[in-house]
Amino acid sequence: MSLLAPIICDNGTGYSKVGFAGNSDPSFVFPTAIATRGPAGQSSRAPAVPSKPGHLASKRGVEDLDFFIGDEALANARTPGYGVHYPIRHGMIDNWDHMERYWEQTIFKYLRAEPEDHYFLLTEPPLNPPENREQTAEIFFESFNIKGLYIAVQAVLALAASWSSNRVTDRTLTGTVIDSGDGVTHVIPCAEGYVIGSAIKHIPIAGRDITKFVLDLMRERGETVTIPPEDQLRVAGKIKENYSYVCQDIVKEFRKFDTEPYKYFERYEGEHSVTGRKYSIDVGYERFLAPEIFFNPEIYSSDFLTPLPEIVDDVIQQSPIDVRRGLYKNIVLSGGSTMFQHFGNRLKRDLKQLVDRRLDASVLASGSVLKSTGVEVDVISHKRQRYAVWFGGSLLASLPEFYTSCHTKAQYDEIGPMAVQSLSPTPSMNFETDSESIPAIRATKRKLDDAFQSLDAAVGPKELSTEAHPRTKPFNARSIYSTLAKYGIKPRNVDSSKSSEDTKFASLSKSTPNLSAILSRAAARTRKAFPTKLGECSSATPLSPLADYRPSSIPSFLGRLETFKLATYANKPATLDAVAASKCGWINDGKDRLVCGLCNASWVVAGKEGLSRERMPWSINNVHHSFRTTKLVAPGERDNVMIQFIEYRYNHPLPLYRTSR
Amino acid sequence: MILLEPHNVIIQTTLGEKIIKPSSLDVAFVDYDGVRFHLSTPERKTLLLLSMHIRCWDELVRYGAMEVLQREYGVLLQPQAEPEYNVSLAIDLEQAPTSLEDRDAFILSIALFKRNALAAPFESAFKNQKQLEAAGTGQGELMQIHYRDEEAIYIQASPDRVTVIFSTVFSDETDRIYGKVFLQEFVDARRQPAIQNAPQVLYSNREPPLEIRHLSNLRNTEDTGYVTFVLFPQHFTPVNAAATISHVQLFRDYLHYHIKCSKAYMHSRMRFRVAEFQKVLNRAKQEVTVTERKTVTGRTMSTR
Amino acid sequence: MSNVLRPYLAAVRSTLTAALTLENFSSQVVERHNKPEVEAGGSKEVLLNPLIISRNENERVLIEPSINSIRLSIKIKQADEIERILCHKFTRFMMQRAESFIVLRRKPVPGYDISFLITNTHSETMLKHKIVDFIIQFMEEVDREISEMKLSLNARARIVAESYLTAIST
Repeated sequence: MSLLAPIICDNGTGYSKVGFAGNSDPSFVFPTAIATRGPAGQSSRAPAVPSKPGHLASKRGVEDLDFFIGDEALANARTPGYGVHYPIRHGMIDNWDHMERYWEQTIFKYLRAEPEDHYFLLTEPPLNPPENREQTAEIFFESFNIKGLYIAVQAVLALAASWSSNRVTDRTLTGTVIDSGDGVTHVIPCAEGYVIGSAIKHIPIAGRDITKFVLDLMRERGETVTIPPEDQLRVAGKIKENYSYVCQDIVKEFRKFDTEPYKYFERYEGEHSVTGRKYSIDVGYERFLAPEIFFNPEIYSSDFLTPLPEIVDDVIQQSPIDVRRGLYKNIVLSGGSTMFQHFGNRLKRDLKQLVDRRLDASVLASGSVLKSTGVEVDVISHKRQRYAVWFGGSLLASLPEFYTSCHTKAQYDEIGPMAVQSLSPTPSMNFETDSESIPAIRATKRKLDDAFQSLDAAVGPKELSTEAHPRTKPFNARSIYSTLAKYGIKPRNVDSSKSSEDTKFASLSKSTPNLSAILSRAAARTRKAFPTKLGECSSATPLSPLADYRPSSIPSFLGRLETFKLATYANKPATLDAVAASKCGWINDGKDRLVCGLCNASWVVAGKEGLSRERMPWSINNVHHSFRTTKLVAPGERDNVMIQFIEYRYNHPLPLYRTSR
Repeated sequence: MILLEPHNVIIQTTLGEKIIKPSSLDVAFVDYDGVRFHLSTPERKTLLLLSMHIRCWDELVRYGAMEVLQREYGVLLQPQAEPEYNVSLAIDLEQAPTSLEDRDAFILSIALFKRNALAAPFESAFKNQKQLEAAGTGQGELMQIHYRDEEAIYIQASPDRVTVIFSTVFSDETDRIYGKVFLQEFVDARRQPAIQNAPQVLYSNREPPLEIRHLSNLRNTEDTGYVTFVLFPQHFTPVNAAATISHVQLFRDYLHYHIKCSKAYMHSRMRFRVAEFQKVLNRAKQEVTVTERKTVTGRTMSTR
Repeated sequence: MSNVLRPYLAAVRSTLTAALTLENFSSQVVERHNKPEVEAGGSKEVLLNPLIISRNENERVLIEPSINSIRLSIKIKQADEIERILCHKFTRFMMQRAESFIVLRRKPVPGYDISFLITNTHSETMLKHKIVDFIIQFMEEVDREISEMKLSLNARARIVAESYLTAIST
């Protein structure tokens, strides 16, 4: 029977994200809350035994099944007799009874999965005591009889999720994870997939604080009079999510807002939850002030005064010295409160300032004798940031090595709960330490690449095709084709080489189409960083799908733009630069050479140095006026235009050309 | 939650969201008994394709699944299923009903996709029974549905009843014993006055019941159990036939769900008990008084 | 229940009190080591006579004293399959948490369900009669807990069956 997808379950303090591996989004995101019979404060004492011994002949025997989780729990919080409890505090499970029942209902009611048929991937916070891991294993193996369990550290999964970003060229598990959720923000350094526990720092500023700050600002301005009090926090939360962004400089933003209020102030339309009456609120300075408390905590409260970039710097400086460069280079964001626009850019800028300042100070201190080579600081943002941990889990669980690195029921039966103490490294890391398994490393990376590719093929064209045309064969062919090119198989005819495809690639793309699409789209963009591979293949007919000139088609434009590399086409005036040229249908092939994909004619855009004034055909005096004013024309019409210029012996007049340089 | 619900929550919530705000999606998920679903938007954002893969699809088709699905879903049913799946529905969000109740009913009917597919043999058995009743004698065909790897449902119609036999496997010794307790209660439940009209339930641990003893591919190990439901015509009148089918289908899942719930309940009892024991033990510990030690001149010792 | 058990528990209590006369004793085999002699089992002179107190075939207590430690193993009454499984689960649950229980041993002595190991350090830091109280209370509670769990399991089963069949018959 076909293997059912593993279940990924990420239980956080605020929200739980559960779903199946291979999907790009969790199937369910609901609060980690459970509403049970009895008053709300009951969880403080020892776990209550639901039914009293002795009164057994009534329906009270199954009282423990009378509970709700997630959104239903919060909805039922107001009905009398039910109290809401939050079993997870500060990332760790506090109340095991509630958590067991929570998982029970998640699996049977929401996911509708038979646990005996599935493997599970759970997440744990860093510095989780081993007893908690044992208890989790006990619950899952003994109560639910699952097939296999893998408990992963949340930070490492966030790092794995960052591989789907188009900025990442090599997939590494070394990096700093900034995980900002509802309750608290963590800065966690990881080296080679292992968390450096001593250097972890927590910042008490997170989503909840930002929401409160938004509410305070609105209250000061008097906006909250129209909102009913029970909705205020919720409305503030919505405003924070929809309208907030991170600015580069507060003073400038204030000035911007003051000079052009109509451009920057927004209006939020709300509806009273009970009466249905509509109201609207102005959203102003809180748009950029709210997320600013990460970078200037003093504007919110005087409890905590260190800005986030400084904390990140401290964390990295406290880590072992040999991993620091890797940590600076790969700062990964995860969690809902990092989703503000420009958060990554601002953090990178501030952090780079700190680092540069320190480097300069040390250069000065050494008497300007030792010069530093500079430290590269990069913050990785990607589309899956909000549920990055879940997405990382989904990625890892779709790899075939996942099943071998899980702890199985057999192991549990034999060794007992201590079985989960062995730190099972992330599946792709199994090969890193073995020297003779270098080909195995490449194999894993190749498999991952293929996973990425098929993901790209499945998702990329779909999203774009809704605007342009139905999915065209060229896009598909290009991704399969590029895989084969990597293996050195030059496609003479694509069909025969398709059969020699890596079987894993095929199976992976079938089983996890959505996920593999995203990954492959990212990988396709990373391959842009290796121009030679594409370059050598671009001479043959596959060029034509890239080069056809369709003015409104973004994929073909991007395809052509891809061919322009800094090494081969640089320092051109704005009107002749890569963007303009590819807009008009040119591809870069060779140094300074523009080639037309349709007719294969080419010409060289020489630099200033090689030309004298008279020979420059585009100097303002030498040119026919129509040369300057010719508009963009379609390929068919271009012929007509060409005929006019035959006398100048230029086969391809540049339309849209202006002489200013 | 005591009873399991027949509809799939993921389908329900996803469709509910997408009707309000269509967007592209591609998710794969499962349902009980190894059923796999795939919900995607292959061509445009408003056309959802829901495909299902059931292990016993061929048997279901033989017993009339296609007619039932045709009846329930009509035009939504695709003639050709997606590759690797058995059957597909194409849901056009633009043509979904607009009023709130109709929309909910529409979504619910799609969420019952698996249930409707598995309902086919039951419905045909009920029909058979009516015919046999009219005829007076004879036995219906013994329908076998291997819905899980090692477990199966057997349905047979007779003139005065319909017999449904479940073969179930308990992978764990604990499960087997708990299962025995539960099934014993099922058998004895009829003695209660409130549920005199319930179907009769019989249970045997290793021996297959008479009706299926002649079959060749039966599992005959210690951890196999056979549960027989005898449904009388009063249980499948036109009013309650649909509900009966929904519940009987999920019997095996219901049983295993409750076994696991009771194991979880035992855990919580044990945790409580262990906490109590620790309290008693802590009473045995002596109080260690922390005295501050001072020297004559008044300086204190500090401990690191 | 207690009435019947009382002489049994009284016997266990007095034996335990007598056996809990422990003193510090360094290992005679390895220099500068101090092990519980009942576990190490090296030299015969430090081990005292083991004693079994049994109520019937199925309920026994084995006490193995030595000079600096005492090992107490209990075989709990398990009448039928369900009780056997429940007892097994319960003892395994407890032994899983042996760290916090201090006197509990992680594996039972073969032939018994659960074992305790009390050393001289325990009897020095904790009150002896309280330890004995704990053990006796444990023996009482365990039996009671297992029968309660069995009853609740039956009750659950009945309700589960009832709900299901009512759902079908209506």
